[in-house]
Parts: sequence; structure tokens; C-alpha cells
Amino acid sequence: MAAVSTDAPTLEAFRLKVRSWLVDHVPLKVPGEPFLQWDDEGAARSKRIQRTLWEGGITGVTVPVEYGGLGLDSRYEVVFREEAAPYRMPEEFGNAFNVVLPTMLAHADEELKKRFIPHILNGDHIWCQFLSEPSGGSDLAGLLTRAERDGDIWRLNGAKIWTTGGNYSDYAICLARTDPEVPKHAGLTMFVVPMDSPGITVVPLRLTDGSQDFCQEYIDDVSIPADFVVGNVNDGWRVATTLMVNERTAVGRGWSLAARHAENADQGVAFDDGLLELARRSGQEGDPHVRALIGESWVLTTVQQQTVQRVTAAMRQGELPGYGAALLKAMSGATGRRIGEIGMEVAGYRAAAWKPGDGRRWGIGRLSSHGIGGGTTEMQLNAIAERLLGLPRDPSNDRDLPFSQLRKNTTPGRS
Amino acid sequence: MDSRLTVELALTETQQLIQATTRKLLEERCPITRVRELIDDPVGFDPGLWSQGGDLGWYAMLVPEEYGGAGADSSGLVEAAIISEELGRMVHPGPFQATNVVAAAVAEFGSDDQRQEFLPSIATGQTVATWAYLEPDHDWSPGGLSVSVTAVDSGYVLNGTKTCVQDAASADLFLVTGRALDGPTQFLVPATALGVSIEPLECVDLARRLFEVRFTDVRVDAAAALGPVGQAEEAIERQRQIALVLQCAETNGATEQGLAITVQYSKDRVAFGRPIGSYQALKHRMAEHRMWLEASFATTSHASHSVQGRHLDAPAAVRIAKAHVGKWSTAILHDCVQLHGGIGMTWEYDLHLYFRRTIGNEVLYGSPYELTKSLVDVVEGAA
Repeated sequence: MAAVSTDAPTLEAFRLKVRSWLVDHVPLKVPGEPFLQWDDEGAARSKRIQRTLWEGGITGVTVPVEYGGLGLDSRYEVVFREEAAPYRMPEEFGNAFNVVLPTMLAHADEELKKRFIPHILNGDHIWCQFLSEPSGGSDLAGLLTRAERDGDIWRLNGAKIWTTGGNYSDYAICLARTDPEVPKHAGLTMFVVPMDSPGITVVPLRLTDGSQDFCQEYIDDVSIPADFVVGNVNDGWRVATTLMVNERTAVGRGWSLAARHAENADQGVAFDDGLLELARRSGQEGDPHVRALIGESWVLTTVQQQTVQRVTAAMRQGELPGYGAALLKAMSGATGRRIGEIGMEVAGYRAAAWKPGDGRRWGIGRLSSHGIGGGTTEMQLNAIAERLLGLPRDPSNDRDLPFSQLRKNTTPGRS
Repeated sequence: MDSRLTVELALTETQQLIQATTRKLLEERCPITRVRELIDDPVGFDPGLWSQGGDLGWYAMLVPEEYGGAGADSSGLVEAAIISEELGRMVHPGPFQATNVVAAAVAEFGSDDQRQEFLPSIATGQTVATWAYLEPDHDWSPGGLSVSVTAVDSGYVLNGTKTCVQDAASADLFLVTGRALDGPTQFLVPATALGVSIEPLECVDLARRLFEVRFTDVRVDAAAALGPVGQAEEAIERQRQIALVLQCAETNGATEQGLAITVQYSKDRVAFGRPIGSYQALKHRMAEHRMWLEASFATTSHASHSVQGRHLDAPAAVRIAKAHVGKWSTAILHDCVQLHGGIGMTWEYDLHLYFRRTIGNEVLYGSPYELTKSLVDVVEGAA
């Protein structure tokens, strides 16, 4: 933990400072607005809000002073998160604050930290992650993007995918292969890649439900300065491990930059009555089978919320390791699938067609109810089995062979 | 398997003590070998151990302090759930849940005389109490009650049949839920009352004794009524909520133990040159079980606090908890047997004792299907 400066304010003084700055400078949340808004307006607004937080001296609470932060301990961070709960936070900076910043603090050299961290805090730079590739996501250490040293620069070639907000990011933290002649985990390096580098092509990825929050990037002869390396060359897997721990921890704590709004914190059991309304409208409300299905969907959503509360508290208290987040991801996949089925069953023909802008799009609920985003259900189950239950790993064919000798996928979609 | 789960993430010192003493007593005095002996015992549980449980406060958590209990006004329901989890882990026999339900009912709805007469001896374990509620070929809703309560000169006469009454043969006191002209009514009936006859049922759970109890012209004093005649609806709902919380906690303990046995077996058992637990086809199933089990503890925790604190969402919260716990406990233990292969199907292997308990618990006090349907009624009724 960073040393607390001797002139640290009292918690109460800090709370009042945060409160009075937020009330004057930051807009309140608007009910129903999306958590992330990946478009010109959303990105610009978040940069504006983050800039304001920086001007008020209330951001980067636990970041050491030498990198532009406040150098306070985590109790002050909790205070900030509580006070910020009702306000629109710059959530498009989530990757930067939750993942990149703590990973940089742990592994980057002084120069890199001083160069990049202040620009997160002052709202200049939105960051994304270049991890998954079209050739493979679950087997991250098997990635194909390569970085070759060429005099004063690194030259990168490859492709990345599943980058959230790639088209509105200023920088990426990028895992690439620097030595293919050693086993796969030993030949990786973590880089900083400016998104405006010549040779980077960002293509929004359109998902089956029509959403376009993710991107795919082509990386063709991209040059970056020799010192844009986080940690040591060929030690990138260690950095990536830190990164993934930070990500899981943030997911466990709540990805948002603010605490959950106090009004929603302890609402007990609450139900989405969309299915019940549908049953009433369609004359099925007296059907015991339909009533059981509606009840089942309420059981699923309620137990899911209760489990999120329990597991996040358990991780916070150290009762569960960070891998506990795998329980939540796997559960949301299973719950979503069943709720998608129930929606179809109650909706009947309404799941096939609806008037534009009208109705709950029950068929789409079924279409997009998979456990894939943020790591497939299968990877979560591996983590639960191996990390929580202590079951042995599957034998693997690739741990000791040089990467160059492994069987690999080619990159799909590239000619 | 990772460390044992419990209904509370962070136990208070008192809760730790309750858990540790209960666990120690059960491990020393009633390990699974002893549970197996009791399967053929005429009583079905160990009366000496029942009293020792009383010394640890097993039946005192829902009894107010002035009557020899540990708390006031059911404030000890979470503590009782912690005990119930431990009993479930050891598939312990005996009417722990039923006795606690009766204790809570007397404490909350009884007259001063009834509290004075029954609570101190229930709290120590001296009086074994059980709840006669369900009737043959009826569901768990109070609307189906038909045991008749007829007013006579100085009291009432009960007629009718109850089923799935736990440990009726050992009980000293029955809480009988019947129907008077005005509506559902409850009485405290001593087991020695004339006209009470019992018949043992064959039970899926080998460590649990359930009985049919027949009331033939059983005369009771007016003072034996628990609460106002014809107005027991609220008490019945409250008793069911307490029963369901304790049952969910017990089921969770049994399920966790069954899964722990299975995970260990899959680490030890080798096939095709490696532990069977290293195959994804098996380990993913155990990981899913671990996931639903965590959810079972989460929803039981919510329900126990909700019922203990009489929160507005208590009727919904217990139904949700039981619907989830009931469904997944049997699903998990069914698959645990499958994951074992042949050994899991043998009488000598302990797994079926746990599976049997979850099967019984899934349907007693309301099946997941009944409770899931009634959840919509509860929400509509509250709206």
C-alpha cells in the first residue's frame, strides 16, 4: 500500500470535499441510461467528467502522488465510491482504472508510470485491452500476435479481438509474442500501443443481437518505441496474470467506478413483472404451468442477485479468492440461458415478431443468452474446479514444447 | 473442496461457539457409523444425545430468555440455521426442526400460561415437540386442512388424520393444526391424550422417522388452543417460514458434505492413468454443483435474515430459497452418485444417506414446484 502522506485529510473532511465538488460539477445518473455509451458523445462526456474529477482533486485516490494521484489509503477510495454513487461516473475509463492502472503500478518502470498514469487521471486517455485474438481467446498464452525488435522500435503484427471500446480508446495494453522458440508462457511481453499508430485498423464487431460494443483490430507493421514495455521482455505472462487478477477483483467488487447507488443497495426481493404482464395480456395468468415458469424466472434472478452479494462480500473479506468471480460468471450464463427459454415459452409467437420499438424482444433474449462474454462458461468451470475445488488440471500438450512447434489455429478472417 | 460454507459469511463469536460445539458433539457422539446404527434403532435417535444438544442450546434459539431460551422473538433463527447445517452435514436423526418450529409457535402465539408450561422444558430438550400439519392427499397450503375442530361444552374435540409428522412416536407434545368453523386453528395436544394413535411410515430418509397420526374424538381444553380459534393463518405461515429456513440450512449442510465426498473421491480414483477428477467431462459438473451450492447458501442466508427480522419480503424469500435449494440439492447429489459410478450405488457407501435426506427435504414443507407457483400468488397478494 502506498504510504499515506502526513497531511492526509480526515475521512470526514475528504467526504465533504468529494460531496461538494460532485454536487457542483458532475451530472446525476439518469434512470435507464446505459452503463457504457461507446459513441462520440459517450466518450467525450466521460473525458469531460474525468477531467472535472481531476480538477477537483478527488480522483486517483490511492494512486501515489508522484503519478498525479492523492496518495491516500483505500478507506478514502471507499468514501469516494460511496459519495459518487448517485452521479454519472466516467465508466468508459473502467479498463483504465480497474485494470491498466493497477497493473502499471505493479510492473511498469518509473518513466512509463510517470508518462501514462497522469493522463488517465486527468481524463486524456481512455484505454482498452489487446488480449484475445481471433485465433483463440480461452488459451490466451497461445496468442499469435508477434513483436520483433527492429533497432529503436518494436514492430508488431497480428490481430486482436473482443476489445471493449477499441474504437474510442487512446491506448491499448497489448500482450504479444516476443520469443516463439520457448514454451508459450515464457515468450510473451506486455506492450503499450498508441491507438493512433499507423497500421492499426479498428473494426467494430457486430454481435448477433445487433450491439456493437466490441471491436476487432488488425495490427500491420505497427511501430512502437522500444521502451513501451510494461515489465520485462518475455515476462509478459506474469504481467498478464496481474492484469487478470485486477480484472477479476474489479468484477467482484463491482466494475463501476462508484459504489452501487444506496437506494438500490438493500431492496430485498424485487421482481421484473414483464413476464406476468405478458401472461395477463395473453390470458395465460391462470395457467399453473405459466405461473410456475414465471415463479421460476423470479427465483433465478433473485438467487443470482443474492449470490452476487454473497460472493462479492466473500471476496472482499478474503473468504473466497479472486477466482470466486468465476462462480458469478458461470452462474449468470446458466441463469440467462434458462430465463431465455422461459421467455420464449411464455411469449409464444410474440418471440418471433413484434412491432418495432414495442415489446421485450423475447426471441432476442433467447438468441443472445450465452455464457461467453468475459470468458466462456467452460473456462469459468475450469477455474472453479481447479482453483476452488482443487481438482487436478487436464494434461496439456503445450506446456513444455517451444511455441514454434505447437499446433496452432490460423487467424480467421485474414487473407 | 474449499473450506466449509455456512449460512453466514462472517460468524460472530457466539455463532462460532455454537457451530464448533455442535460440530464437536456430532463428530464425537454421532458420526455416520452411529447414524447407521440408529437406522435400526426403535426410537431412531439417541435420547442421551438429544439432551446433550439441549445443553448446547439446540432447542433454545427461538425461545425468549425469560423462558430459558437464548433470545427473544425468534431473534436466534440464524443461529438455529447454523446448527441445522451441522446436523445436515452428519445426516443427523431426530426432530430438531419440528421442535424448534413448535418452540417458536408457542413463544410467538402462546398464552403466558402456555409459554410458562412448555417453553422451559422444550428449550432444555426435556419435552420433545412436533408439528402435526400435513394431511393425507392434501398440499401444504392451509386451505386444504380438514382435521375438524368441534366446540363442546368445556373445550374442543379433534377428529382427523395427519401425515409426515416427524418423530411422533417419541414426541411428548403435538402442535396440531386443524379447522374450526371460523377457520384454521391450532392446539397443543399432549401425546398421552386419549384418542391419539400413530402409525410409522416407510421413509426415503433412513435417518428420519415420519408417522401418520390419527385423532379420534380427542378432547382438549379451551386453554389448549394456540392463539385465537379460527385465526391461525398468520401463525401457520410463520411456522412454515421457520421450518423452511431450518430445512434449507440442513439440506445445504447435507449437500455440501455429499459434494465434498464426491470431489475427494474424484481426486483419489484413477482411470486411464489419471484421477477421474482431471477429466473436464467430470470436473465441469462438479464445478457447476459448487456454483449452485454457493447460490443455495446465498439464498438461505437472505431468507434466514428476512424471516428472523420479519421483513416484508419474508414470504417470497423463503419460497425462493426452498425452490432453489430443493431443486438443486437433489440434482447435485443425484449427479454425485453418477460421478462415483458403481460404488455410489452400494448400501455401504455413505453417499445415499445424504441423497436420501435431500430427496425427503425437497418435498416436505412444500415442493419446489408448489412453492414456485405460490411465489406468484404471494407477489400478487402483496401488490
